[in-house]
Amino acid sequence: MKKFILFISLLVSLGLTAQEIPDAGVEDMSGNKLNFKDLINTDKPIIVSFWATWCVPCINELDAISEVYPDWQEETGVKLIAISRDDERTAKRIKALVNGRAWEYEIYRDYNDDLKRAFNIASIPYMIIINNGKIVATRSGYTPGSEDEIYELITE
Amino acid sequence: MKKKSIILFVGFLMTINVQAQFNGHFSGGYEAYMQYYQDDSPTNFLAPQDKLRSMQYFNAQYQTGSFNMGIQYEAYLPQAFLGYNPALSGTGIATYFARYKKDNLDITAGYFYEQFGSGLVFRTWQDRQLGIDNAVKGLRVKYRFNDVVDLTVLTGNQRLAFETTPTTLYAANTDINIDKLIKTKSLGFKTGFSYVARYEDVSNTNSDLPSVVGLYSSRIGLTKGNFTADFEYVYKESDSRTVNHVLLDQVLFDGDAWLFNMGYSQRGLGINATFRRLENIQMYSMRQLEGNSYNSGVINFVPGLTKQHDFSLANIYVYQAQSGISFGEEKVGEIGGQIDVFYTFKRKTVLGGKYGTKLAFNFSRWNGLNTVFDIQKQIYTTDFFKPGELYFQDINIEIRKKLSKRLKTVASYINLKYNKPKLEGEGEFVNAQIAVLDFELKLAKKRSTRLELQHLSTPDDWKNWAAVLFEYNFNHNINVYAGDMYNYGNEVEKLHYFNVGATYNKSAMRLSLNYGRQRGGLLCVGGVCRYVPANKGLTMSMSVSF
Repeated sequence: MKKFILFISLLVSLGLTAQEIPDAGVEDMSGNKLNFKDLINTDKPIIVSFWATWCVPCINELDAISEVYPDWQEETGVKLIAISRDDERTAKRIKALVNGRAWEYEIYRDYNDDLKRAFNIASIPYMIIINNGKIVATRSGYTPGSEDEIYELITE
Repeated sequence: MKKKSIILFVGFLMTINVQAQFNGHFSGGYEAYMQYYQDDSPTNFLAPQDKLRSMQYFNAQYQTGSFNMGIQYEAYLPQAFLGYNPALSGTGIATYFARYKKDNLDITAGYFYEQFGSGLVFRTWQDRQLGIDNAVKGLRVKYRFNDVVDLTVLTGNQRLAFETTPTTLYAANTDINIDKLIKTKSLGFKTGFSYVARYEDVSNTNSDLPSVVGLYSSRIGLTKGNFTADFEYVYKESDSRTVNHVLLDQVLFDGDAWLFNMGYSQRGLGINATFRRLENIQMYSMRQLEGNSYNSGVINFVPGLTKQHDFSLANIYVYQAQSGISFGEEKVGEIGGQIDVFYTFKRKTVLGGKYGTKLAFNFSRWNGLNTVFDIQKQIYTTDFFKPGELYFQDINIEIRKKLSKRLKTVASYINLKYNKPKLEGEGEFVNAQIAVLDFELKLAKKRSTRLELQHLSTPDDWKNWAAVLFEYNFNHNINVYAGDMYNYGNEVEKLHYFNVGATYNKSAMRLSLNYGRQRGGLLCVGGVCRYVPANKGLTMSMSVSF
């Protein structure tokens, strides 16, 4: 218990500083290795959504956003990058699922868990909202209708 | 020892905190899981002596310019949860690393995670729910030549709880982007080769076992327009077997794996098909670890290729890849495949309705290899293509439909065949059908509810089940739920597996509380999925990153 308190006080003392964009490798749907930093090189808002083909709430969230995505893009220029946490067991399903669901997102895969470790993602869905190269919000979990809150965050 | 490591750890944090004020940046995370076990007479579950257990992970990373370093502290107090490796007890610095990454060069010293190709030849990763962390401690160097060739060489010892193995791994991997070499944009063309060797000292054994055993992989990937195709072949050199901690070295066996995948997709339609044949391909970083139940020392990743279902009743009969040799159970591998189809019926069509309809179909079927065993000589012969006994089959379809502005549904049907005697070494062959209905209703003021109804019917094994889950979201941050899985068909004892709980989310922090009786499986509530091992009691978890 003492250690627990120690940890928590450490967390607080370190000021829960805003995270920065990590230097981590991702893979595109053609198997090209890219750096995550290079994907978010824009002054428009970016939503980074961590998901997986086996995660029902993740799919619910991305389905819900896909209905309003054209409007969001038109109004804010936002771009959604969906980063799959699928490992090799289910990785081949990603491209088929994304196209089959007619999602318009940019799709990548965190193939060596580099982003998971860099962002300390314990569970998905997990979302990061970036504006002007800075992380402005982090969210975990999905509840129906919470896409409206995401819209509020990107229009702020 | 414990004190020393804590002082060291705090010292490290303070150092980086001071440095962080000058340049570079600091990040980290903390995860804690606590469980209180209770006796439960209906399931014959006796709480262990240490009823209250916690597992905590604290990691910190610091980056400045091209340098990056990190440390992970783990605490299992007094020891890890049931079902985890009992060697995970006490506290200590579990992993640490220092990394230099600039331009085309990437060097890591300390613990690292790596995957070659599909992982069939080499993968180190961490999965806290499964209790897997097989990081390698050593040195890794990566270099990229002209965006065309990626080269990785590494050496080290694999992590085993708070220790590392006495054996050593040496590995090299290259991925070649032929498309970039021949400067074509219309075709994606990749190829790759890997070699992974395990060195194990055999001087103190009487046998003439090889001290070095290698795994080889060659693979190719093509993408052209809407089509993709991938092929991988992995070969494992001859090695002894270890069965129930006994080393069998009279006959050595080699092994291999064939993996073939094809996909086609266009807007609104996606199809993917996989074929795989495995024969004696799993490898461990020490011979004596072969077949251990905690996945300790696993070098390569051999997942079961079936659909990973998200509903609790669909996770009672789950297939695991069969890749080892067993003369007793007459198994040497598996052959089979799966097909996925995703389709969207457009809006304003007969089947699409007002909002469109989304369909997902999956079929998987896995058989043993057709094998003739010579028990006396302890050898076998096997066919390449001809399948043996059926191990597993899953035909499933899922339909998602938005019925109105507020109401969404998911309907799912699963037809399962599960060869329990072959896969678990006991019980009877199971034929089961599962139906799931899921309703999601948006209410006013950011509130919403979800209702999940499931039924599993089978004349076999534990017979019929019914399940219900109700979830209420006060807003995105706070949620409560209650659910029950009822094994009403069971003739011996009709058991309820009830659960109640709540979750709290706030930016990168998540807290959850659950009380109830569990059987193993994925638990998905409040929008998050997690594997929960069988138990009864109170569970608390917390995760935060910064």
